[in-house]
Amino acid sequence: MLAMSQSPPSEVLQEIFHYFDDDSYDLHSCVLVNRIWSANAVQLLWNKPFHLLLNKKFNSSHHLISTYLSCLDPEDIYNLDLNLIPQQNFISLKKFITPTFNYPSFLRHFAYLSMIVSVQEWCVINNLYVGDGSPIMQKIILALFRLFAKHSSGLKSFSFVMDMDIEINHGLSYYDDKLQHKILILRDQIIRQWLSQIKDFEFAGDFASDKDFPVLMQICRHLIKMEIRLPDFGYNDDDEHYDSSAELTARFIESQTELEHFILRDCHYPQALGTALISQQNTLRYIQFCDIVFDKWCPLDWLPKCFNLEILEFCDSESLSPKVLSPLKLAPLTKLRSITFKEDPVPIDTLESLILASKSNLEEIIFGWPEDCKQDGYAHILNSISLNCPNLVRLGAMIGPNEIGELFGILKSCRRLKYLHIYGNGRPFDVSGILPELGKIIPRTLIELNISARWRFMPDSLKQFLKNCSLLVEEQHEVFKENEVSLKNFVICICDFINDEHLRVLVKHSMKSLKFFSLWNKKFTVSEAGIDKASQWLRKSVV
Amino acid sequence: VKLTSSEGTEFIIDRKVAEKSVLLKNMLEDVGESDMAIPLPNVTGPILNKVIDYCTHHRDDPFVSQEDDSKKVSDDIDDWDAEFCKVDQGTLFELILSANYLDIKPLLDLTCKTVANMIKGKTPDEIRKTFNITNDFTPEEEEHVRKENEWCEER
Repeated sequence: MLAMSQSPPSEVLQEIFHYFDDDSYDLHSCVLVNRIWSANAVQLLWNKPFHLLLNKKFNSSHHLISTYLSCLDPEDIYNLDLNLIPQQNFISLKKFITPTFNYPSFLRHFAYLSMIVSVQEWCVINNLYVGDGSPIMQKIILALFRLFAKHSSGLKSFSFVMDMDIEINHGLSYYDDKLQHKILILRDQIIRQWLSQIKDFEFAGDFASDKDFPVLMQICRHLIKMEIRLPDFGYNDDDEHYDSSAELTARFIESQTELEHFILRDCHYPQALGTALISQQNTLRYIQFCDIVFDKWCPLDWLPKCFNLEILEFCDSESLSPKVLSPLKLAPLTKLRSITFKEDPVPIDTLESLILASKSNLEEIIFGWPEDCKQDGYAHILNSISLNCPNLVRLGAMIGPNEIGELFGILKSCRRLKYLHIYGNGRPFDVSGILPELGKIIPRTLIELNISARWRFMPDSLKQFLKNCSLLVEEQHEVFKENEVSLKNFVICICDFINDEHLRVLVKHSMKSLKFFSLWNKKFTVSEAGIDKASQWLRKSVV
Repeated sequence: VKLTSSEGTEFIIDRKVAEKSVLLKNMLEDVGESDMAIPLPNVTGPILNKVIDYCTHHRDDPFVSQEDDSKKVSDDIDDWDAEFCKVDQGTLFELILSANYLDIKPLLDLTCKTVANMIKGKTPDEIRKTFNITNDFTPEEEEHVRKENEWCEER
């Protein structure tokens, strides 16, 4: 009989190893198993090594640099000008003869600062001087860039995050923020060529002071995706730095030819970016604002001009006032597939005009607060959704006690719904009488039901709900057809009222498809063992 | 739909069950209605039996498109599937190969997840023992590979 000992084909091994994508420990173990496992695991391990270093607890980045240096051609080693490096310090390099794999060829995702700091660590470990404008560091960095340019033909993303969170830089403790401004590596033609293929570019923090950034701006003109975090306001005790970063970013955006996906996160939104984004109005399809502080003097007046926009997302914004969003009301977008205002107080009229403009194109609408919130008044929006969005697949919405009728309306008309996330308005609400009715009209397509509202119900009501989900119904005057809901996951976030009887009902009466239920954020299987665990967990965690 | 396994055993299954396999689905669409058995020379009878069990149990599951699984997680196996995968390693491995050959993505995911969970947290030596794998590195080669990958040795 066949067994793992007779190695599976590479594609299958890779398929398995993909489950360790972000876990370099397991991938590392696989690399050492045997030759065929090694050859397949290194491809994933070396795909984004500079990102993986950020998760490390120990100073291991100099080892990475040692391996990369061992991959240099003799000619490149010669160019490194070994005379600069005292012989005894170079031993760690010489130990390698020919590397087992062409490691640089696997590089797909590159993090600039992580690489610079790793080289710095390598120099320090090898007792080399890394002070101001150290020529040795410069030479090594340049040599490595050339190495990547020569071998890593499929570079996908480039991260130019130029400050580092103290919390996450465990593996890069030699970080020195004065260092980065002094390095200039992008004059080389082969390196410029290599970087010009990037489609996905992230830049953040103090990028504007780096001498290489303007060169990068010149090279990377065909980005598909741009993710940006501007530096903090008041950096260097004045706003000049912030303004120049915003200005530079605006020029970068304007130089693009095919930008589709724009993300701004964890910073203030400056008007300059909006003005620049108009230049990308034909190509932009996906815009995302995450943890952004808006200003009422900077309305999003350019947004309606992006007429091809399909996905619009606001998450955890600050000061997202009606005035900032009002331009969306005047000239709404018609091709939206997805609208998200997560934990953001979107004005009802703005949301409604967006829904009415994109209508049946909409597959995803999320608005409201996953946590308690006292705001009411979305009945009107819910009505608009049931009247205009028959193709909705995912809905996350505020549904208060007065809006149950509207929820039923949506379930009746949105027959493709797969994910339903019900946010609450903070008030406890007994749905024992409503839940069974809900079971009767839930679309068969529903895969996940997530109740984050403060709903409570009796075990008997849950039983009736589950039974009704599996009722036989008459379909279009034809024969009775099995009409079981394909619910796979049932989430009850505020679960302090759940008792053992609820759990028993879940196991005994749920439809065949229901595999999991979650209480708060804890997932259990729908089985005897699952309810035992859930019951223990409830006793321990819910007071 | 009629299928024959590598040793010539014939299986008759519902078209809906067969269509869980993208390979068979495409074949059936190309050929149309036919009484001819589809030969599956790469799949043995006992394994085909298991595969049919799986496809029958999951016949009504919605089709999950490729782009849906952006991040791979391995801790979401339900009880039926976990029970289904409690087989000897030879069988598990043949199931992977068959799922790959017949192009049944959810079965391939399930079996690969199961193997990934068996690997998780283990040292290279424990992995070799678990799967009865021979270490074909020479000591020098192994030392080289270890040294080259030293940067990710610690957690």
